[in-house]
Parts: sequence; C-alpha cells; structure tokens
Amino acid sequence: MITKKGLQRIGILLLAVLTAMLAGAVIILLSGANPLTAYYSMLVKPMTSLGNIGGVFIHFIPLLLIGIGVSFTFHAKLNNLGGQGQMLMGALGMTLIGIPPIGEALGAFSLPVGFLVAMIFGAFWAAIAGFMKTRFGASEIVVTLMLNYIAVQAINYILFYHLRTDGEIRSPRIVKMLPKLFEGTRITWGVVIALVLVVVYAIVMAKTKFGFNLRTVGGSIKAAKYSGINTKLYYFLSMAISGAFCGIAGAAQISGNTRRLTESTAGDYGFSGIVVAMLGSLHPVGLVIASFLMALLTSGSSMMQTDTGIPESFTQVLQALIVLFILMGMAISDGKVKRRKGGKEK
Amino acid sequence: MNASFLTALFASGMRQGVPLIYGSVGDCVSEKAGVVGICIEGEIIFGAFFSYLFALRSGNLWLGVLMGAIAGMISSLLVAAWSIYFKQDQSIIGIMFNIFAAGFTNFLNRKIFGVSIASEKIETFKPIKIPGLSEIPVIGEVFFNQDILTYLSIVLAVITLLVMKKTKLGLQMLAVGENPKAAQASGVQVQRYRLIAYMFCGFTAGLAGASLTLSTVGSFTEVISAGRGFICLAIVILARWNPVVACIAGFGFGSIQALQLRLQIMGSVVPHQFFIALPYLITLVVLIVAGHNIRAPKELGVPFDKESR
Amino acid sequence: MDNKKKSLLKIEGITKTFGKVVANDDISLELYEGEVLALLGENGAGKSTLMNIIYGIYRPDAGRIEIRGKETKIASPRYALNKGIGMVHQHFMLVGRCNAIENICLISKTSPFSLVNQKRIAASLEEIKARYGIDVDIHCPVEQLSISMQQKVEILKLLYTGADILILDEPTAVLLPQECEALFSIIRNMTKEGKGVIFISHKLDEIIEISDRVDVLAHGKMCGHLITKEADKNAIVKMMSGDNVPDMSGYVKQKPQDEVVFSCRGIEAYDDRKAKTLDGVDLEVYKGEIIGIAGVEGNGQNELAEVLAGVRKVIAGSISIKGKSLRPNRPADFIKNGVGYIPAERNGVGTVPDFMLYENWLLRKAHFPTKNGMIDTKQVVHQSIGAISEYDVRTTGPLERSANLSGGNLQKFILSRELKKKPEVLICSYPTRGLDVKAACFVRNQITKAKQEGTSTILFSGDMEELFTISDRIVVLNRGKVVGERVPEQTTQEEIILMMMGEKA
Repeated sequence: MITKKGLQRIGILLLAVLTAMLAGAVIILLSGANPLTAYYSMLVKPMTSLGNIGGVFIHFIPLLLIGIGVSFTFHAKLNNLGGQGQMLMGALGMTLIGIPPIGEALGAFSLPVGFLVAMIFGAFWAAIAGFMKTRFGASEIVVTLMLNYIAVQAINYILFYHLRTDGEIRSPRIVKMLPKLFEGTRITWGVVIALVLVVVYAIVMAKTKFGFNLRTVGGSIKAAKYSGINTKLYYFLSMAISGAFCGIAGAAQISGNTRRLTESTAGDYGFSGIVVAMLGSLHPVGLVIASFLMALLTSGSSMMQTDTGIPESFTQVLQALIVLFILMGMAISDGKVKRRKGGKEK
Repeated sequence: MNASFLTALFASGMRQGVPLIYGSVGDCVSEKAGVVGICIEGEIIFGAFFSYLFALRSGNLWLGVLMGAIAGMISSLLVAAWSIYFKQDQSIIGIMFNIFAAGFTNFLNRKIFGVSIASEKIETFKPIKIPGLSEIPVIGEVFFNQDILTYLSIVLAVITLLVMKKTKLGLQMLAVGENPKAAQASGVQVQRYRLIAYMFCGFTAGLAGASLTLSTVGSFTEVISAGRGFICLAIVILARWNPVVACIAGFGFGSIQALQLRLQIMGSVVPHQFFIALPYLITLVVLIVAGHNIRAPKELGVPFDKESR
Repeated sequence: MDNKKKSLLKIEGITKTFGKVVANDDISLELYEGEVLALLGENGAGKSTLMNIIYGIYRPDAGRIEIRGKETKIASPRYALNKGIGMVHQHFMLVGRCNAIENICLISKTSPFSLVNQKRIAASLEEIKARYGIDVDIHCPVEQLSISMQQKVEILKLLYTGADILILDEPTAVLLPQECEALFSIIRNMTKEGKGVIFISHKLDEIIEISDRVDVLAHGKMCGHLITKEADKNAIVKMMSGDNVPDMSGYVKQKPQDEVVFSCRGIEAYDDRKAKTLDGVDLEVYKGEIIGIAGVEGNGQNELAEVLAGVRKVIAGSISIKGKSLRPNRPADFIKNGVGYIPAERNGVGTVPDFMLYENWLLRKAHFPTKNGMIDTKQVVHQSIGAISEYDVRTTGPLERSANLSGGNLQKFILSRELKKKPEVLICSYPTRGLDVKAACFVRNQITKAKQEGTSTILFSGDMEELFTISDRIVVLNRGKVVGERVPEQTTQEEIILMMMGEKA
C-alpha cells in the first residue's frame, strides 16, 4: 500500500537525482565538456548493446547485495561502512573454496559451498565491528572503516605470500563459475541470486518478528527495551547479517565476473552500496531500482571518460550529491527547516 | 637498534604525526561543541589538493598552506549546512562528504594534471634548527629540528587548549556540546557556535592536508589522506578531548607510521602488510580501551532544534 | 491597583501554535515592579510556552510585547537578557560539568574572547549570596549538587545579570516544604528591591502565600485576573479547570482478594547517574488491588517503576509473579508472565514515534499474530482498529504516525494495548500527567475497570487526589525506601505529605 508519505518520498528521491544531475551538469560545463554528451555516454550508451548491458549487470549484482546489507544496519540506525572489507573477505572465502585443489574436489558443489563460506567470512568481519560496538561502545563507523584498511592488507598478505600466481599478486582462477543466464552475454545467475535475496530481505523486514524488532531498535532504543528486545543482540545481529550480504557480494563478484581474487576485487562497491540503500529508501523495490541506476552510472562513467574526457571519479561526485540532496529534501519535508514565523509580520 | 636509528625514527614520527595533530586539534574543538568530525577525512583531501595546486603553480609554499586551510574551511561549510541547517545525521553527511571530496579532487586532479600517476614533486618546507634546543641529544633532533608547520601545529594546540580552558569562548563551546538548551538560555547562539566549530575544524583539517603535501610527501596522490581523518577521531578520544594531549598521541601514531615505513624497507620476518595495517589496528585498540567514554560531550552528534520541546 | 507602580512588562494578544495544537490563544498580562504575579494553571495549560515566548526561545505567531512601556520584539534569549528578563526554567538550564561560577560566566555580558575571571565573579556572587540570603556552594560542579541547590544556582544566575523581570517556572515542584520557605524569603528580598517576579505554579496554597496578584490560564486561554488578598480559593479552582471540575466520585472500591500475585523483595538499584536510588524496597500486591505509590519527585519512583516492569538493572533483590520468580532486567520474561507497563514517557518509550499506530500495536507483545509463520499484518491492523474505536483514540486511523497523536490519545492507545493483553499486573507510571481532565478521567476509569476483571495495578502518581480516589492502599517512598503505607479512607493528604518528606512513618 502506498501512503501519501510514500508518494512524497518518491517525489523527493526523483527530485534529488535530478538536482544532483543538474549540479553535475554545471561541473561538466565548467570543465569544458558538453553535459548532454557526457550524460548520454554515461546513462544511455551502456544500454545500447547487449554487451554493454551485460557490463551494467556486472555492477548491479554487488551493488544490490551490498545495498541490502547496508539496509539491515540502517534499519537499526547503525552505519556499516565496511562493505569493502566484508566483500573482500567474502571474495576470499569463495576463492579459497573455488581454486584447486578444493575447487576440483568439490566440483559443482564448490559454488554453493563457496557462497556459504563467503557469507560466513563477511559476517565474521562485520561481527567484529558489531562486537566492539556492543561490548566497548566503539563507534561502528570508525571501526568498520579501519577494518576496510586492515582487510585490504590481509588480502594483500594472503595474495603475496600464499596465493601468488604467475609471479603476480593475484590468486589462481577458480574452477567453477556461475553459469550464464543468457548465453553470449555477461549476465549470470548472480542476478537471480541477488533478486531472490531482495525478496528474502523484503519478507524478513515486513513479515517476521526479527525484522519488526530490528526496526523498533532503530526507531527508539528505549521503546525496544520497553518492548522486551535485547537491543545489543540486535545491534550485533544486524551488523553480522549486513556483513553476510556483503560477503555474498564478494562471492558473486569472483564467481560471476573476475574469476580470481585481487586486492581491488571490491572496488568502490562498499560506499556505493550506502548510496543504493539511501536512494532506495531501504525499500526492496527501491533498492533494485537504485542499484540499477548506480550500476549504470558506474559502468557508464568509463565510457564517458573515453568519449568526453571527464574523469571516472565524476560518478562519486554525483553519488554523493544525490544522497546530500535526498537528505536535504527529507529535512524540508519533515519540517526540520523552519520558515521564520511571526518574526516580521504584524 | 641503536640510538641514531631511534632518533631518526622519532624525528620522522614527529613529521608523520603533524597532519594527525592538526586534524585532531580541530576535532577536539568541534567535538566539544557537539559536532563529530567524520568529515575531517574529506577536508584533509581538499586541503591537500588545493595546497599542492597553489604551491606548485605559484611556487610559494605559504600561499599553498593558506589556500589549503581555506579550502578545508570552505568545504566544511557544506557539511555544516547539512548538519546544522537541515539537521541531518552527522555521520551520513560526513561519509557522503568524504566520498564527494575524494571524487571531486580526483576529478580536478585528472582534469588539471592529466592522468599520469606520478605527479610533479615540489620542494617541501625545510627543517629549521631551533638554536640551543636542537643541540640537546635525541630530543633536539626529534622536536627542535623540524619544519615550520610542525612548530605551528604545537603552537596551535597550546593556543587552542588555552582558549578552550581559559576564555569564555571555550566555556561557551563546552556548553553548546554539553547542554545546548542551557547554552541557548544563557544567550549563546548554538547554531552559530557549531558553525564556528565546523569552520575551525575544517581550517585545521585543511592545514593537515597542506602539511601532508607540503611537508611530508611533496606531491598529491589520490586519496592521499588514507584514513588519517578517522585516526584523528581515535586520537581525540584517547586524548580525552585535550588538544595538547592530542599532540602527544599524534606523535605516537606518527611514530608507528614511521616505524612501519622503516620496517618495510629494512625487511623483517613479519610481513610488511602487518606494519601497514598497524596504525589502523592500533586505532581499533584505542577504541576498545577508550571507546566508551563517559567524559564525552553529552550532546555529541545530536542535531539541535531551537524550538523542540 | 496602585497606579504609581511602574509597568515592567506588558504583553497583549499572544498566540502560539505547535502544529495543530494551540498552546497560547490571545493571551495578555502585565507585570509591575515590586510585585509577585502568580500564573496559575494545570499542566499543559500553556504556561511554559508563554514564558518561553517572553524569554525569546519561541517566537509568537501573533501579539505584541512591551518592556517598560516600549514595544519590542524578543528575538532571542540574549536579547531578553539584555532587556533585563531572567528565567528559571522548569528543567534547569545548567551545564552539569561546570560549577556555578562558570555557568554564571556563560550568561554574563562579557565578550567571548575575554578570560574567565573566576575570582572576580566569585567575589560578586558572594556579595549577592549575602544580600539575598542564598546559601550554595559555587565551586562544585553543578551536576553534583542537589536539585534545590541547582535551583539556587539558577537564581544566582538571574541576580548576577541584574535582571528585574524574573520568571520562575514551577520552582517549587522540585522542593521540599522547608526549602520552599527559603525560596519564598529569597523572592521577598527580590521584590523589596523593586524587581517584578512571575511565579508559575499549579499549587494553590503556595500562590496564596507568595503572590500579590493571580492570573489564571486554562487550555491556552487567560481566564481570570485576581488580587490574591481578595481571591476566593474555590473560585480559582473553578477557573483553573475551565469549569470542568474533575469528577473524582463514583469510582468503585472493592475489597481486593487475599491472594498475593506480585511481589518484590529488597530491591536495590542505581539511577542513570549511577547513584543508588532504591535502597531495599519490599512490596506485595494482592489480586485486583490498586496500590498507589507516593513520593516527592526523585525519591526513586521512576526507577522502581522501571525495575518492576523489568527494564532496569537491580543491584540486589528479587521479583516474583504468582510465586514464579522473574529475572530482573529481562523485560521479555516480564512480558511473557503478564506484567503490563504504561511508561511515563509516551513518545519514544511507550511508542516508537516514527511507527504507524498499527506497528506500535506490536510493542511489548509476547506473541505476534501470525499466519504460516509470518506476521499477519491484516490481523494486526484489525486489532488496532478495534482498540482505537473502543478506547476512543482520536486519529485518522491505524496508518497515522504515532508522533502525530496528542498526549491524551496516545496514552489511550498505549493503555488499550496493555490492557487488551489482560495483564496480571499493570505498572502505571504517571498515567495522567499532562492530560486534560476528560482524558485523565478516562484513563482512571479504565484502570478501575481492569481491577474488576482481576488486574492488579501499581500506580505511580504525583496527583494526591488521584491517589486517594482510586487506590486501595497508598505506599509512600522516601529516599528509595518504603516509609509506610496507609489506606486512603483512614488518612489525610497532610499525613501522606509528611510521610513523603520523611518526617513521619
């Protein structure tokens, strides 16, 4: 059921995207390029050929999965900025299971087992932050960020000393890859996995006691206590589940795209996932649309760079602006910005 | 490990610590006023980029320092608008601002300097020997044979401490972070003071960025801050919101950084990745030891609504 | 009226609304020098809002203000201070970590860049302390001072600024009787010097003792100006309640049964500041009984309510229901065993402000309505609609955000949620505080109705009439201990008050 508030929310989101793009257009103009051509290569061109669309879906899968993961923490009013580290850990899990000899021994089973291990690895990495939050009151923001840096070094260490192949700092290829959804494209069954998990997320949040309690914790910590909820446990669980989803994203990235682990496997997905969660308003359908849009931006940005010379990092600027404008729109619609009343008039 | 190794290590640690000192001095003030400095990371990047740009183009290091500080301050206005005027969650704004800062400086960097990875080096600030004091063994070399930005960082910390402890301004800042309603009832304009806190923090973070490019590294690389902004947050907690103690903590973290760099070069049985991760690991330890701190300002991170009941 | 007296403050036609709530409706009043003007009204009558307007914290939607005959707009507290207006707020405006001197330095007119000269301020404070007979430690952080001491710091603050229009917002609410006397003598010293005092209270006796004139506020409207000496007590009461004198008769008292359903032994607990506020409380509640808990604010009632509802840690002690012992600070355990709880804070504890009403219906529920293992949303909405209509909650429907409900309607909603579970025991923490007369009556009626169905209630209340009317026993709490209990029919309010002060057991 769509309430009036829901409609208003959708309006704010659309306006925010448009405003951000307008602001982005100004930046493009100032840097001496034509905004229309730039936006064409960024937003339309990735859709023009089957090959290009496949490229969009390559980004879509991890963005959606991390978006879901981050949403779990947002519901509890926590921030998981550790998507990058958790995704790396998940990717590591998949790689360890997927490469020979384990991968060969397990054969086709290496995929489900790999996903499971990735989930556990990601959840464990996030659970460190959850534990530090509940046990020591440490800010989960700083902790998850620090864990990103540490994860990068840990992966680097493993690649450097243990998995190094052909003299390069990267792992061997995994044995079994996710099958293609459509032959001849780059679209894999990872898309299906991600979409199924969105449905799982929707059901958990709307229809289970766990989801309801999680939202209560986020809504008011005192009301949660009043309601008999073990708030610390829920903080911890929301963090761990969030990490599990980021871990799955890592596994999907390895088994659906890169085939091997490198230090940059996780890219910028961790932060873009936060944008997805914000833009999607934590709503299942919203998350799907938002991650598609972000995937478009990410895959279009390199085309834009080739076509117009606008650096790829423009995407980050646009992403940040979108969220900032969403926050601005919400502030105005919640009446947090007060018009001066009674100050001047008679 | 002999004395000369240690002297060189700590001297380098002091240099590495300077950006951390600038960042955490600013954060001490802003947190006292109830504003969490998640955005410091992004402000450091802005400061670093603009100080490099102006120093390189004008050939004048001081112009670079000034422009870096101003860039940090101006960028803090963006964060302040969202957090003070729109009253949104400081963490989310801070995170988004950091993404914006990283993206925008990369964008400018590539636009202005092209895509080449290695950027042009500039002549950094030269060490200045303080007569007399620099003759003291070890200590002289570590603390009194540094460049001007290092000395300034310590002076800034001491002045900040004095202002916070001894003047009415400091008292007002404290009130704004402890009990904004009481501050308001005492005639303090809470929003304006928080804005000042943001700007001061942006200014010092800009200086932190400037000291990174103009005294530590000598060039600008993408995401040059590498989490230093967040380490500053941990330093502030460790230093119990005291700028001068933050200097010492900053020196400590800088020394870890210096040790890390040395061990990487010297080679050791422990993999070098461990040393690179060491500052971040220690930040985690700091949060475990001091994370739950009852002396934290009471209204830290809480937006202030003038007419809320 | 003495025409020679100069007018200090005059306001006309002040109106202020918060959303749909009209807090002040066309209010006018005037304050002269050397007098105490009492502003009398029930909770929620709009007194605090009016004072916050005068002090520049809120801006009025309409109306004009004159200070010493000159029309002015009070834009901020700073401006009000400069004009000589000072206010002691109901919730003190002190920075807990600072001492009195620093708190006073904050309000002084010196430049922000000036040094804090503690010695100089301390010297002039000592002088003020001597002149008005105020005795307080000015070197100790105010968070370590008692409430009445903190109030003295607030008054010192005003006197230091030299304000001559002084607003005291419910200053006696937090004081013991003998402390009130001290406050009154300070006030008399101030009026002697020509200062004008606006004294806000809802306690009639005090007002008659201290004030020269009385203005009565009810439901946001000014409904009477009186000279204290000529006033008739009953007339004032009638004005205050807006002609709706609360009907306290007609509550059925029925003898409780002999069976003990709920008991606690030796409860000791800390408050939020880690000070021990409960020091060995024993309580036995019989089936179908309403126990009233009386006490001066801050004597452990809030903490006891939370402990009994299972949401606060204890240092020692045990709680049991029907012979089964409950694990303290395990709210889920309490909920499962039929302990209902109406918290003092409706928004944020009793409900999640951002949730829709039907979502809030699920709070503090041991079992959710489910279908195939999933929450049955239809059923939840259906149940909440039923409760909304049965308890006459005025709202647009179950999809309304609960933050948009007025206090009375939200309280009815929470009450319906807790009572629909047919609890064995209901913990009620200040259930009628801030409600209008009609809503308060409704709440009391529901509690007595539940009693007839066998629910025992532990009622924490600051309203003597309420305690005497509906409770079967009144237990008095002082400094975290039970100091005695009485049956309402065999005691007087005076006796209970003496017990609350710890002067009688």
